[in-house]
Amino acid sequence: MQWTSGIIEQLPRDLSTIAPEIALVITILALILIDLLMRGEVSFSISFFAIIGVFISLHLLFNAFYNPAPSRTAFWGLLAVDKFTLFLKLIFLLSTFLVILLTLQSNLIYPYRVGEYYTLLLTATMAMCFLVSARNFILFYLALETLSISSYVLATYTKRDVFSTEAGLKYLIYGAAASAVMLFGISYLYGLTGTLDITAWVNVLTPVTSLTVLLALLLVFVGIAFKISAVPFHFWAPDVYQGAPTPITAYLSVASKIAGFGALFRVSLPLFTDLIIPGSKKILLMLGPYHFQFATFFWIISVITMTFGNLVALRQNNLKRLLAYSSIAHAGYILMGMTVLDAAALKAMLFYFLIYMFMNIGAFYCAIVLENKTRIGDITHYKGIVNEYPYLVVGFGVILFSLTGIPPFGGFIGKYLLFAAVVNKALSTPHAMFYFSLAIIGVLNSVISLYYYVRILKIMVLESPAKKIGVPWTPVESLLIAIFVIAIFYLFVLWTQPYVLIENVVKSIIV
Amino acid sequence: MTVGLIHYLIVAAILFVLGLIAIISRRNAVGVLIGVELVLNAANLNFVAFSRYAERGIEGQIFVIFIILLAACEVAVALAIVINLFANLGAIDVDRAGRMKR
Amino acid sequence: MLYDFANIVVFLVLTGVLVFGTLLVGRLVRTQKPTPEKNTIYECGEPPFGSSWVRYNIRFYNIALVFLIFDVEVVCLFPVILVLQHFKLISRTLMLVAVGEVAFFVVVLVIALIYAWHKGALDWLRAPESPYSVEESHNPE
Repeated sequence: MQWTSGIIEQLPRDLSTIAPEIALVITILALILIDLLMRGEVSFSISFFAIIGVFISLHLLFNAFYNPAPSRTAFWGLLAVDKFTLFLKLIFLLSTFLVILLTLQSNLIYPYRVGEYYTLLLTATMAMCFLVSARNFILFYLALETLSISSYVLATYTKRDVFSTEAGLKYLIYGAAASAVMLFGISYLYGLTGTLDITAWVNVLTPVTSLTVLLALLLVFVGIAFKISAVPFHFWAPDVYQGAPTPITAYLSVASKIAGFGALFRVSLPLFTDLIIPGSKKILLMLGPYHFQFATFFWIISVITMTFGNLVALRQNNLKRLLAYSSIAHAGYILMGMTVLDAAALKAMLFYFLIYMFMNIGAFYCAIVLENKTRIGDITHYKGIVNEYPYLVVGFGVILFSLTGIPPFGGFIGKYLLFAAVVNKALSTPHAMFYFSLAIIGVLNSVISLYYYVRILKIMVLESPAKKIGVPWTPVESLLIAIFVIAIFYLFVLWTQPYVLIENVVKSIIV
Repeated sequence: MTVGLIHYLIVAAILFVLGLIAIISRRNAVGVLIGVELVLNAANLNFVAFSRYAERGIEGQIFVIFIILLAACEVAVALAIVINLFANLGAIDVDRAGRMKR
Repeated sequence: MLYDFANIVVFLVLTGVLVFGTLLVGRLVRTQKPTPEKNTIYECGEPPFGSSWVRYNIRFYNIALVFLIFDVEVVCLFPVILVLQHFKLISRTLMLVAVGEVAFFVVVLVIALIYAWHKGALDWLRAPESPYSVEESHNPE
């Protein structure tokens, strides 16, 4: 009972480090109570309270960002409190806010049973915040499952819709299987290391045990790969993205995926740090020979993921399904950073998260608008839609070109940083061809992706319309599309501003 | 011969493989979930065995409590979705739930 | 160690012998004159009809779901109770903090229960769904 000494003294400080999450929990409970107690039409007031809760949480997050905690960990090493974690939490809260805005625009969800909807959405957000800061496998698993279970229910939210139910069932079955397999891997890591510390596997990675450790890590990776929808654990993504209510699709493809990457960072942090921290010769010697093995593993996953995603996306006609495959491909691009495994790659990945959030939620917002107007998800029905909704098509065009990574848009900077990290690594290691080939495959994939993104625009702009849709365009839609477009241009023109922040963030975990 | 850590690990490994086989081969949603439960229990057995025989501290047993808890939550949500699917489709085959374009 | 299991093995063998032995003896002793009436399933004299694989009412599952959740949550309280004994010896404040945490947990559970109750998850006879809980089906092709 050694650890109990000083438990009371530490408690206020530790609690203050999770202030954003506490704010979210209070909001969640308040939403349930409002839903219970208020009579009549409550949809708007509940949405309002949810947004207020997210903003309070954001405010507390900024407070924590500018007044960093004296210690790197809280709750006896259970939680990491560094700027890296705070940055990821910032992305989660921002994307939750954007998803709430999307929800208000979606005819499918709003205003049906929104109390439960926001409760689940904020629960998932809170779970993500804990997931990326977890340094202990119990908390890690608990957060991952809280996130997963909330997502399952959200995916099946429009419960009279067969597609949505199917999506939820598939997501649940694959998700439960993946997390159970991951748990089996964790149990071996626990047996090998004797602790549930998330990075303790480094200490036992010796020639004698390496096979067992790597196998256990592979099992852990299954659970994480499921969240980031990396091939071959992507089966669920197309069906779930197509069947789930569109705001939830946006949420799963952005926040949930980035949370998966955050978890991957937490587990593989020693890989990033061992070559850089000056005083850690021991770790360097231990991990040295394995470094390239990990890089090779991520190289394979990354290449398969982006190639598969892009090639299958070529043949898709359903807009949400196409965006699902495109988001699988983007997971592949981001995984290139995991191959490089250095500070530059980490910065590039964090920047990519930022721009990916705006691009992908924006793309799904356009999908929502098109769904609301036409009630059809098939892109061949969007012929000549530019005549009726020019703003939509222009905004969608900006978002799609940004997803491709073409210069005047923010997506270019994201991809440029990633490729620059890969090429720099190629120039500084003996394995030059290994990294050059990755960069070349990445560029080829970007070219392939241009084809299917432009195909959507071609159908919308060049082909002649079949008939008039006649649903009026509203100013709110212009405003929301403008937000995404401005964010994309901002991240292209003034990309150094967030990049300075990201450099700060990366410094906080990799000295 | 005494029953030691290795026996528990072997039983857990067998359970894990059986669970995986059930997950892969079963077409019925409930059957797949039973397979998932087998895998979870394999992990539970590992945790408890490591905690008890390899003297890895009490953490493993605490973890098992959380796993049981979360497995129950997952099953509850799963059954809710399956009931809903049943109400919508009249079947609980994973294959029947395949109306979206492949 | 292995001999400790000997009595279990004996027990298992005896069980098997008793069960299958009685069945075997019955099979050897009894007369066999099957008629269509005798071959039917025993239903207390009633002529049997239908399949025994009847579908249970879906409402059983709804109640079971709610029960399952609240039943298993109790497991969470178990470690706290064990630790509380140690805490009592160390410091009173510490114990109060632990009790406070458990109290918060229980309060959240109670809110959840009230929510389930209010939303009608515990009702055997469901009230017609309120207009806000029914959404039209949409099928974007």
